[in-house]
Amino acid sequence: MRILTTFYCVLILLFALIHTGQAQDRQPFDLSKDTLVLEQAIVREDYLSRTPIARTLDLQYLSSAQLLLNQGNTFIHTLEKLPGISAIHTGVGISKPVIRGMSLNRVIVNEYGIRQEGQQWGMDHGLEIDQYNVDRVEVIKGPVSVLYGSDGIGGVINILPAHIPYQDTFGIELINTYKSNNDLLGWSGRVLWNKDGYYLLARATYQDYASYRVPAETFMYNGYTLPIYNQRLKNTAGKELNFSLRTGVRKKWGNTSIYLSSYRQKAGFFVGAFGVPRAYQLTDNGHYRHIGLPYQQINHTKLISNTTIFLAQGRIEADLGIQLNTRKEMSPPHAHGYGPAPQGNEALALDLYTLSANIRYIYNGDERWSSTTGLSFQQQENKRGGYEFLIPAYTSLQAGIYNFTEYRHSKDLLFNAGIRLDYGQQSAAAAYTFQYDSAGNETGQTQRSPGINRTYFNTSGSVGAAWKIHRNIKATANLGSAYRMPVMAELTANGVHHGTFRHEMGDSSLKAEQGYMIDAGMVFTQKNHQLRLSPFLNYFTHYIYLSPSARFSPLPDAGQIYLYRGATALFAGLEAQADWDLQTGWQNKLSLEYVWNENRESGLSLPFTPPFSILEEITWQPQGLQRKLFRETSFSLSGQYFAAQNRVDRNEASTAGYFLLNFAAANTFNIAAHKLTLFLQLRNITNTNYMNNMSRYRILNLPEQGFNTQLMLRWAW
Amino acid sequence: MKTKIRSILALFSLLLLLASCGKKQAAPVNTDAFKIEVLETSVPVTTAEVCGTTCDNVLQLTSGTPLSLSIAFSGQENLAQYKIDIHSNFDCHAHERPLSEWRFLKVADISGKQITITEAIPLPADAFSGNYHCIIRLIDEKGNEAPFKEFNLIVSNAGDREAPVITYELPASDSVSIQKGQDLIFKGTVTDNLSLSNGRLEITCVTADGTDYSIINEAFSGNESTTHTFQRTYTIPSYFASGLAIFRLKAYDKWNNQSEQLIKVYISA
Repeated sequence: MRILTTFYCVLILLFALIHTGQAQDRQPFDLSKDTLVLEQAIVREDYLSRTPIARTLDLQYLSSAQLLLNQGNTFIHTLEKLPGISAIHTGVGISKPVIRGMSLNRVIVNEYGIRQEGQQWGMDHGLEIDQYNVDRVEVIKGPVSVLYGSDGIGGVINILPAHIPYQDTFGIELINTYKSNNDLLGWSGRVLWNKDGYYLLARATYQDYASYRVPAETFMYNGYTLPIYNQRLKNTAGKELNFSLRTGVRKKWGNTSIYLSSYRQKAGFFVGAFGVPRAYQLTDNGHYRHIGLPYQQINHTKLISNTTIFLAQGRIEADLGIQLNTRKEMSPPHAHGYGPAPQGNEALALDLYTLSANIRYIYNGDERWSSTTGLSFQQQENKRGGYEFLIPAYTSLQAGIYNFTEYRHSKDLLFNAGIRLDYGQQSAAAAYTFQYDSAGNETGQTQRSPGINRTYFNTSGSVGAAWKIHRNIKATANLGSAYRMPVMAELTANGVHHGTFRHEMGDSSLKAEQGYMIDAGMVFTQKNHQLRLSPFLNYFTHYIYLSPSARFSPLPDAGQIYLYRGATALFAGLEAQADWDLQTGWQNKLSLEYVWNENRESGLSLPFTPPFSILEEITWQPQGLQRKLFRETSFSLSGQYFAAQNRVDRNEASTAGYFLLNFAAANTFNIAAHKLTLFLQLRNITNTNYMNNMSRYRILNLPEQGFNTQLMLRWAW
Repeated sequence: MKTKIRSILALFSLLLLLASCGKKQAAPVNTDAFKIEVLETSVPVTTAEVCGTTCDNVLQLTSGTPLSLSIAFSGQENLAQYKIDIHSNFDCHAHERPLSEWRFLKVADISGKQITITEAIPLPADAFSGNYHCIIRLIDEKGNEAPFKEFNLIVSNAGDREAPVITYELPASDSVSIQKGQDLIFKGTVTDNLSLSNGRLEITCVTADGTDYSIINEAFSGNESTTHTFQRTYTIPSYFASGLAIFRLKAYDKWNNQSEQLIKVYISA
């Protein structure tokens, strides 16, 4: 309740600030004009989105300069700065996106129009994206199932293709990175070329980091105080090696391109994270760059083709993709249980092949009406190996057909509506593991997961409106349905989840996840100010969650059995953002976000709900400096307050609030044809010892990363 | 115009209001009231070294003598089950799975908010020596989990408490130098007071960059007497880090009593 009061006070303050602004500073705010620029894309500051649903949902955009200036440990860590976006982290190298408290398969990440598929149902399975290779990204919050099908519940992160180099150019870019906290060294190089419309973009990235430092010498686990030697979390080192290549042609008829990318990561897990952490495992061996057991090795390879053909009254777009995600989780086998000990350290090996095709026709031949009609298809095959059983080998197929239509009633009023039909199919053979008696003799087989052959049909829809109420005020509203096919883990899991001691059990009869989502948005703009509010309300008739059974697992070294079940659930919250120019060169940004949710079955919150937070940032861009040496110069200081998270699920600990102070600066030096940009960031300046309820290491009561100096030098020619 | 703004503001307030209502969050679990308390143990809780660190939750047991625990479980809600799980932790990482290790696993239903139980856990006479974990867990009928209780058990086999002895002729001393690609020969004997039957000799190594390697695992036969001679050749692979590597020779007798020898090996390219 106190949070809500604070919340209201801040809102009132923001309103007051806006209304004391100078009345004569009116900016033209013509919605029809905005939307007619560049094939009906919409304007958000300097960004035009091609995604039609972005017109009635909340849209955030980051360019490559903003991504570099705010670079975090991972791509998702960088995005966390945006209101409504948070992340579930496992140390510093692994993070997955959370939008408005929804994660795992409830958030879609598209790179170049193809949905990234990499076992995203796992809490400690990170997003496999080279953060240097993201040129532009848009985040659309809210239900996008109508455009993207299953999983489009929380929203979508669209990694957009890099800008095509200018005609007849050749360029090179090199980035060197150093991060003090984990002694990270990173290099990323890019080559760009364009001759007569034929172009090529190629990038290679290598990163190597040591175990990270936390501002603590000890941590508490189950009543015991355990050491953190030299304030470093043992075995949290990692490395990354990525390549990408994009080549294509852009002509008057349209454009086509091929994109090939490879992401390889080896990342260590804190030694105590896969069982009860014990003092003798934690002793310092001085090898901070060494990646010992347990660790994960991820390779993600993609081949994507994007084609656009312009027609008289519109265009056809086709995105085709092939991906292979291989995941190896390495940890020493447990001695517990009967039978011969497993050979080797490969606990889990999953290979996921995905074939995708998205084809759409965009009609924009009428001033009032425009529409997108599309087909999407995705086929998957998953193979498994390793001595641990988590999910079986399976195949799945998804196909959808949709139409999204927009009607521009007047220059101030726009409506859109979409409808989609989805078909889904999943099949898996029953999986067995051998059973042994106490003398080690094989006695038969136990069924670990049942045979599955399921089909799903779903209809989803959405309606939205954008209305320019006043020359300073624009409002949007959207009502949509959400849909998600259960993932294999939810249907078939039957085993102990490392680190949590939970024995998780799937239910092969689970229905698809479904809900209804209302979003609203309001933008007040005056010359020097902009205020954005985006409240939302989501009601799920069937939300899949892990429910404690009050029964213990019969397996050794395992805790309680948790069952996947469906319940009604409610999500509500808001993001608010206020941007204003204080005076020439000075900008102020204030944003806040809040998510409230409840599992109506248990009366408790859902796990991993981001806390209420406020971010205040003041930026100074000095004017009138010597142009050669000081370009794109900026200094910014930001403070972010995260409230305590006491709304927690059963057996999830409450987390205290904390405040983080960060500083960022950038400058570009122009020396002849060379452009040298220096980015400096100081993160967690006060070296605050805090815990983050969104961290996978929260269950071990481990503090988060301490003070970090990040230095990045970009040379472009 | 103003009415338009007002109506929009009203809509927002309504959404916010909807966002803030809902059932009151269930009370958090009070860990002072929801707990496992071990009232009595058949041997005293002591402080001893386990895997190189000092632990204050150690029960030192002798095979053939049962372990008795008197435990009080209490909760705010009605209790559902408790679980006692004992398993070996022989090499401090529990990689091994010896066939005749001692293990104990019990899940029992309980009811009410308060209960005291006494558990007599049989410890067979032929149990292996070594250290074991004993973990006690408790859940209530809502599925709340109490903080678990853990003991480190150090078991000695009643019939044999003496560790085997490793003596080696090769390498020539406990500190040698070698180049990658060259052979390192291990030659010597393992002797025991009673029996080496089904015991083993393990040679592992930690290289200069901190990587662990398993070098040799020599299992003794079921009719091995009290002396085992060994001679094994290991070629130092090119991927080993240069610098000081520590080779560890570890021998286990029939009852898992163990001893080790460390050899410093300076590896050069």
